[in-house]
Amino acid sequence: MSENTSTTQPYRPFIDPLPVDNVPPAAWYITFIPLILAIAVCYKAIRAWNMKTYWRQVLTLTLVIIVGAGALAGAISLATEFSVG
Amino acid sequence: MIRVERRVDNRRDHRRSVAPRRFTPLPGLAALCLPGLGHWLLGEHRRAVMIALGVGFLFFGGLFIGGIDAVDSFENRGWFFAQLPVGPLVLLTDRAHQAVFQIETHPFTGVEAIGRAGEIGTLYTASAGIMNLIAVLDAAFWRPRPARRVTDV
Repeated sequence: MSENTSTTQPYRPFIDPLPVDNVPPAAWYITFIPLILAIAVCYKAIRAWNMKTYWRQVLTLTLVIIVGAGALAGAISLATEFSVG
Repeated sequence: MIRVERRVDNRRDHRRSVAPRRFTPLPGLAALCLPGLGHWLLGEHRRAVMIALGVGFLFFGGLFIGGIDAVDSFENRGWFFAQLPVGPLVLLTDRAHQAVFQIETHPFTGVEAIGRAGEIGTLYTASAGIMNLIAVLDAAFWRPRPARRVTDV
């Protein structure tokens, strides 16, 4: 976010970026969860045959993606941590 | 063993009962104009509402996080093409961005999302576009869903 916007104008939702300058970098990963949930909602609305179990399928897909992405991140982190050189 | 054989039989029965896909251009175009509208026209109201909610949340969530700079056909052309399947909403947002907020201030000091907010806002809006593209293709090449299915994938 530019200095000019933050000092001369009040925050305008949906126009200015979210005014979060002092958030620790790790906190941004929280935004990953609603992103995956919304993707699962869309994907299962298209792919699910039985809409009676729709929300169960959405939650399952969300959990699978979160666990899978977490495992991949962990594996890559370990690989880079213990790699030679 | 018996349970496995029954499951295989159920899948074979299901494959026989599934209708082939047919080309339905009008719902496809409708889905491109407004997320969920294509499935609504096909009579799949619940799916339509869920698609509209999901795509809407992704798109407006992206704008909320990254600001209007999350949609930028000039500086982020590649991402803009990913956002484009959301429909006229993207074109209007980009038009507003280029016509009003880019001129409002100098390009170097204007409404510009940099760092994490910009990245995540762009990622959200691009995800909205990609999800709606899948919905458009599903509506344009529609396969009627059977009322019941034994196994759900």
